[in-house]
Amino acid sequence: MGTFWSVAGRWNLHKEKFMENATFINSLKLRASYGTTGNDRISSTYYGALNNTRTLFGTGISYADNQTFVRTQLGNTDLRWETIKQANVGIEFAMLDSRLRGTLEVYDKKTEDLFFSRFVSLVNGVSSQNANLGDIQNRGVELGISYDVLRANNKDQLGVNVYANVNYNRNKVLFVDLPDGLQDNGTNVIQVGEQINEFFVVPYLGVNPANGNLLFEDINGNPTEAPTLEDRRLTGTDSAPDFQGGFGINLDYKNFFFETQFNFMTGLSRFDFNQQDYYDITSLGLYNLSADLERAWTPTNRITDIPSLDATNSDPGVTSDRFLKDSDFLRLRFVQLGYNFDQKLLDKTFLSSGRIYVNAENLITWSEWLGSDPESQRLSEYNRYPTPRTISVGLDLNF
Amino acid sequence: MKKIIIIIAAVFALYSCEDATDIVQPSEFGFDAAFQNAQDVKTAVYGVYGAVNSTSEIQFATQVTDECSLGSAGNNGSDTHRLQINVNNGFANAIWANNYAAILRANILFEGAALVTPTEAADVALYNEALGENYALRAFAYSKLLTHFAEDLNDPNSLGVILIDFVPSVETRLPRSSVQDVVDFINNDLQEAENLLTTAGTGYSPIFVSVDFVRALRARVNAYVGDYGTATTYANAVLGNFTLPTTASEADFRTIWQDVAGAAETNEVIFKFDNTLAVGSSMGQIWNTNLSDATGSPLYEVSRNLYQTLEDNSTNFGDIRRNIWIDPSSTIVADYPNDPNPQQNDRIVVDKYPGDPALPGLTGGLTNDQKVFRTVEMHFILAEAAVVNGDLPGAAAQIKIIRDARYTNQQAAPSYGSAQAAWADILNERKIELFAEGHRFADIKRLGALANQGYDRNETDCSLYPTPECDLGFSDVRTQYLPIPAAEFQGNPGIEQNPNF
Repeated sequence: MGTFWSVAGRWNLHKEKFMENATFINSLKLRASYGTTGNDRISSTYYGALNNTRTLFGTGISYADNQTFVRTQLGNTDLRWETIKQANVGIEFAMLDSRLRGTLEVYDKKTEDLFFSRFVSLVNGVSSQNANLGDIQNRGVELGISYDVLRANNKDQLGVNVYANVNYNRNKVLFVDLPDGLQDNGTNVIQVGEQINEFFVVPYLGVNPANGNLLFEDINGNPTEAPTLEDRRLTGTDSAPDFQGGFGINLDYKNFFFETQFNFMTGLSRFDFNQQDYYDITSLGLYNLSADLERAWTPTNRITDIPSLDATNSDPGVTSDRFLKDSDFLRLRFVQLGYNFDQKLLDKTFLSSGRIYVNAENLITWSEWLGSDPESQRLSEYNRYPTPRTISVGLDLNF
Repeated sequence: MKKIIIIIAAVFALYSCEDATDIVQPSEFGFDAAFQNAQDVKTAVYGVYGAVNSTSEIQFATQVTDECSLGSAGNNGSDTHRLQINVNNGFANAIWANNYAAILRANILFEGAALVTPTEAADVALYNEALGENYALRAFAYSKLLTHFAEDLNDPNSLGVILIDFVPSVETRLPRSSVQDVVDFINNDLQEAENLLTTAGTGYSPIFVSVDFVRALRARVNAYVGDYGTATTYANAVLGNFTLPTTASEADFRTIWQDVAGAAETNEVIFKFDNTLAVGSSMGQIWNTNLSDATGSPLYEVSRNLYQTLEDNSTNFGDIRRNIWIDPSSTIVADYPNDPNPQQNDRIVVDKYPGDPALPGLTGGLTNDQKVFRTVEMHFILAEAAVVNGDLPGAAAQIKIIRDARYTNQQAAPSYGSAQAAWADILNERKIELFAEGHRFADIKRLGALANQGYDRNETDCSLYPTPECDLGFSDVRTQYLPIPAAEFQGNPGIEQNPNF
């Protein structure tokens, strides 16, 4: 068990005397909270790592079918609770005859003693250990707003509502409990002062016109065909979005109604492992590959973006940004146009209500991402259905 | 102010009970419970055997060297076979991690054994035997690390591997020691092992560490680093107990590979890891998916060049190895370079691990013991020592002893015109005899320059995979060492990498 606490308060400002003259404000509430929580959901389950503080042995059958025992767990005697300290300040408001409604919330969340797999020298018999790696800060703003541009007082008038919600989040590593203040996760790092899991790769420069091999930029800024781990560098990008949210517009006019909903994310990058596989020359003759390989470097086609099919450094062992792609997108998540049957007409029939509509989900997506779905956080999309584009035509009749 | 609604909720939860992390379940098995008496120490040593008994080294040599070519079910081969070796290489990681895991178990055993003081004579002997085995197995793990990661076995000051003789903490970050320091460490462990096993009166067993295991390993390691004086001493000591047959018998020799106990095994196998259906099964899957015949979906086959050597030897000298290394169901096309589909049509199936006929089922057909030290290797070491000493006829005499045990039509001793010719002949004979036992990588690494040989793959073998690289000269770093794996750098960023990686 750990001991945690929190405190929260709300102030209904619109009920204060000094707000009486601000008649355009219908409601204004200020709220704030601060508290700490422990994270007991570690090792992907509740209370998953309770005995991780102790070194344990396990028994089993080993060499020549003899019973033996071996160390199965390396204890971490320093293991502590992961603690989250979070401060929130928020405003809820409604104004202009409640036509404009919204919330604005600012938060500062600090995760201390982040529970994370920490890499250790393989002389420990394992490559990583659960440990309190360091402290992470997440700061962000959440804004939700809805505005009735035109309010319909009767159904012959046009009603227009627009809305949007946006979340902005920045995370920053405050402390890493390792000698260099850095944990190297291979293709990303946890480094003090940077974003958590910021991509850490070698820049890919393109195809060497001389021989068709891949060219990378070494740490000194020179082109190289043989990059090493030392040539990796911070990219300023990570797989978490900076901005995400949605917006839309709803219209009502006479018996017609029209709704839209857009979603977006910006400031995130992902490796396109599917593209990497479709470009993998070691699969030639084995699987279907990208037709882009037809542009591959040859002695008569030296200026191209596809390396030679005989490139000797197609897998240099150090990850480059060749397949690290922006995954920003804007998607028309939902759009609908419909018509409600006139109640007067229906009264003469056996129907109590009825409407007809056409709608579409995921109709259009704007993104530079080549894969099937920029929104997916999966590493690869093999044997997966992409998010489908669905178009529906419907008739609702109630009787 | 009364309209101000402030809700303050402060919850202070104060518990007097234990932290959940302090609750020890009765079933938890900690260090003190593990090591209580001499029998516990002996029990723990089987775990060290289990960790050292790895086939990664054999699989690596199969794929990287010119011993094997792609099989009909091998698709485009591994990155290792295509010679695309980098810091993420799976074998670099496995060989490094497996052997350090074994060394860790050995060091835990030493730490645990220090808590135990046996008093009765039988317990003392058991205790000393377990410690002797533990020293020998730790030395064996170090010998494998040195073979695969050392920068240059002939340069005592070049980079070796991490030396550790204690149980590390997660903070432990150690640099690589020199080749000489690692060799000294191994020799020291082996001396301790020999003393302890002698004191304990441990008898010979082909599947457990004996004094012969210790001496054979000492001969090998010292030969690898060019100390042929020491190597000769221990090779001769081993040959006092093991003798190659003076004539070749295909039937007898086959029993070794089927793990059928008998005179052949007694004479030729100094030590092998005992693989059972439960533990260490299926090493045959390094080469074949299902079983060692042409329909068993071969992954890696006998390379066409090695096949040709065996075929010529068989025709000219009655070399018994031709029909043992290569399964009789193999389909061998006559015009290999012009065959329209050589990967499917030419199937030269590795049958050196034909399955143990005493073990049932599909798994039994893929399970054999891993031969680690054989009598023949000691003769090779003596041949190498003779070349180093300028005694070319002496080297030839050792090669003749080996060939007499394999050729039904015995030949006169070879005559070497130069040291290089002698090295080349030794290397070629090692390539044949020690095929698929994990030696070829070490052999080109240490002898390639002396014999002026690298990996010599058949051009058609190379056409079976899509990338361009085929032969590798002995000066290419990929014949010299594996990279220190990226996983070690993640936990130990200061460690020094091998050149060109």
